[in-house]
Amino acid sequence: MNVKPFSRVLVFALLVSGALGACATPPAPTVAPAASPVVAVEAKGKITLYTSVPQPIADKIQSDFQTRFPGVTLDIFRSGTSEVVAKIMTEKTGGEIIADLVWVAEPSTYEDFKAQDLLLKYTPTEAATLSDEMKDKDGYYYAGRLINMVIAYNTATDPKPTSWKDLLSPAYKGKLAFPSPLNSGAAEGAVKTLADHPNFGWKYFDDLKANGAKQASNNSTLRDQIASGEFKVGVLLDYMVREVKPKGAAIDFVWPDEGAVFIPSPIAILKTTKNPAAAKAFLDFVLSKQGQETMVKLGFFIPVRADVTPPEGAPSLDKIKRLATDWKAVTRDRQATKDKWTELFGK
Amino acid sequence: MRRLSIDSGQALLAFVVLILTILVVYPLAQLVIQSIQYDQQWSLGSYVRAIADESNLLALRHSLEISIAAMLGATVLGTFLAWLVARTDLPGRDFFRTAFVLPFLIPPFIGALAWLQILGPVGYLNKIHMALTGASEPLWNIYGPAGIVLVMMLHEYPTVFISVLGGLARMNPELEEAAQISGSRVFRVMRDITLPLMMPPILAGALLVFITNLANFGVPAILGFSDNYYVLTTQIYRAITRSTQPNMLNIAAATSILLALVSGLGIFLQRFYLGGKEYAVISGKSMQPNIVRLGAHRYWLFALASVVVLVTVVAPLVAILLTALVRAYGLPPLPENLTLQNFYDVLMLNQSARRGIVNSLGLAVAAATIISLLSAFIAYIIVKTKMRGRALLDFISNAPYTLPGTVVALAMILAWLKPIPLIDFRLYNTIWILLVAYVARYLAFGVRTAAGSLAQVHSSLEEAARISGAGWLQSFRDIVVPLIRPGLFAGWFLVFIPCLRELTISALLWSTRNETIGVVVFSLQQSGNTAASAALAVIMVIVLLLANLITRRLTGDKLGY
Repeated sequence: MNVKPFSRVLVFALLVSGALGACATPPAPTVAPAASPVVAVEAKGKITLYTSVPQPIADKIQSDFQTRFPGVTLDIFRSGTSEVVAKIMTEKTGGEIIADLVWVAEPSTYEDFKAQDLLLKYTPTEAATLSDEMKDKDGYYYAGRLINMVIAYNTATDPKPTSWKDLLSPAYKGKLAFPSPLNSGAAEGAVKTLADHPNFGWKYFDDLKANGAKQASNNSTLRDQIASGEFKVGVLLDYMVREVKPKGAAIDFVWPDEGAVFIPSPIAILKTTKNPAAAKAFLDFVLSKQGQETMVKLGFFIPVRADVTPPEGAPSLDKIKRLATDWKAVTRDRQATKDKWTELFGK
Repeated sequence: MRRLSIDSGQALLAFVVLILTILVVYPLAQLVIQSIQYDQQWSLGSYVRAIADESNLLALRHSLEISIAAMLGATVLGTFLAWLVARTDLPGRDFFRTAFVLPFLIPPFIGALAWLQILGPVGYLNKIHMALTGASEPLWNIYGPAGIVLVMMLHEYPTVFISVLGGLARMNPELEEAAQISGSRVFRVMRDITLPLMMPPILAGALLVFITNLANFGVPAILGFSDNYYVLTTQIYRAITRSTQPNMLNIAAATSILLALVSGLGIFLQRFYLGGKEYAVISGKSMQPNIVRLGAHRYWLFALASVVVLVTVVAPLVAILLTALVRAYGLPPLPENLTLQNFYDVLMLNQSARRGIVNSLGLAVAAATIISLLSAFIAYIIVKTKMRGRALLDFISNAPYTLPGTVVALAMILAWLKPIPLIDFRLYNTIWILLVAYVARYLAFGVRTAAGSLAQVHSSLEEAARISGAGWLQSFRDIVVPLIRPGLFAGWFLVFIPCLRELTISALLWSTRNETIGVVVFSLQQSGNTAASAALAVIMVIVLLLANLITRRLTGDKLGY
């Protein structure tokens, strides 16, 4: 044996890495950059977004934003809400938070961050276009998308559910699931909303449990489980269903009669950011008309602005019947909610 | 044997010690130090909390249960198959000898992903069952402990198979012959003679399976998370990645030390049964073993052996390929639903998947190269010198591979989370922490192969060079390195392939832009993008097969999995 094969392999491996690396440039933009109303300070350099927005949507937002701001490199760390929060906490222990922006599912996390003085106060250029419920009154965070906890079902299910109360029907016994609030911020909001509601309360969850409800590890997994028939019905985020329905997946959803759990999903800038100009540009970009149109087109979200048309078949912001959610109470009673849930459904 | 001159010898030792301190000693020391701190005070508080946490104790119990169950299954299967291949006239023995080792080719977590497609609640087998019988419940749900045991067993039986095969080759067949001549029947000979004699290699293989399963992260992560079933490795992972409690890292460190202790007990027992011998070395007189005539049994045993290959290799690969080809997850794999869209998505649209492939290849090349160079020095000190503390050097370079990967990863986090003083550079959240961890993790592979080659190099060659006036470095470079090059070369590949398939350590150390291919497959699966994760898993298996093929070609079929 001589040294030649060894160097051949090295060269081969380097060539492969090089070739793959060469294709790693961002793909061509899927949306032509329209003349944007955003007049940002010249944004350039690198920013990092930590988010729980699903991967394909995060990928698309990334390429869109970089097309609009060619001088900015946007890095995205995508994971579940609890992983994102834990990572920020670990980095804080290490003395440096990498994230410039954080965009997870629901407002209660941001109340935690606010209390720990981690967020940067900023008034986006388009803040005025948002209604009060879509922004923090202290100016630390703004809803970049709207998500709703609704009731999803496999299209083969008969009868189809129409309300929260329907989930207690024997027709779905043992074939229904709720995403775990231990992992999903949206699910935690939904649990707390229902548990605090006079018509439901924790009794509702006792009854769900008695009807054989299972807990799912997260929303995306539950979507697959419903689409594949593992569960007949389940509590799920509206856009997740809209996303796969056109592809022919066997899943659909209803807006519950009593009202959906309405979740403004906020973006905030971390106080420790080293590139506030670019971070602000990103926040402005997401809230802009073009940004929201992108969210509708690529992410199937209901826009946070009234002047952007919702996805086909979806209601506009003000037409959504909703249950009241006290996000400060979600933050305050976090441990109690999780304990109570664990008691019922296990960890 | 000539000893190194004082100055060059000490310089070499100092260099090696410095590198090993950075790579191994400092991170592991940090792990221990952080575990005995709580609220920045010296305290056993972290241990108290780790042990008081019921979910940790439950995870410990789960770890032991599944590791022991999978060990028993793998041992029975591996031993029986080894006997079948080595001692019977089973048709196609040579084919099976190779085929039974093939599960090693597929990373266990990919195996878990694949089995999910077969026996998940809506897996193909369960769907067929429900369609045929009209049942509304799946035949068997692979989520949870039983599924974890099944997948681990199917992936780990080759360890026992190889161990017993080696033992059988060394065994004197005269004893078996004697029993047979005295009128004992085939299975009686196996039970009374072969099996008792084979106990050391069987036990050594079994314990190795136990340790491997205890340290496994991917299988219990994929088959346990959604069932809320945690073992120690996944429990530690969950604590690090999800908990926001204060002192979380300290408690995780204490829990990891608990895991390291259990695993250390297994390693101690394994060494004990091996009696300090490397069982892989086949030695002794070559003897023609006595072949058992299976007679009429050969037909069903052949069928059984074929089923093993089908179940352990063919079925998982087909299942994962089908899922990768389906248009929307949940649709049946009928012609009208098939598409290459998922492959297009992960290779063209998903930037992290592409980066993962590039990063993994880059890390594997870099780690393999660094380890090859470094292990030449380390092995030289261990084998060719009489320096004090060289046994310790051996122990230290082995430690990161012997410990569970989760423990090593946490040690790396604790060591490199804060910036390095003086140069003010932070390894955490960069690709370099992955490289450091990989080099530490697989250093043992390089050192072992380099030491093996060095032992065969006679000192007289080096002495001749030195007498002719060459300095130590020159004789090392011109005499020693060229002579052990085949060993270094083999060591390079022994590191390259495991780096490509790594998940346990990468899952805890990756960051934005610094994903590895295994991490992206895992993240896609965890976030519910089943089809995309299946597509990337297929690509990963293809990359591994190619790497393996190239290894075999270049090393003349001596290496490869």
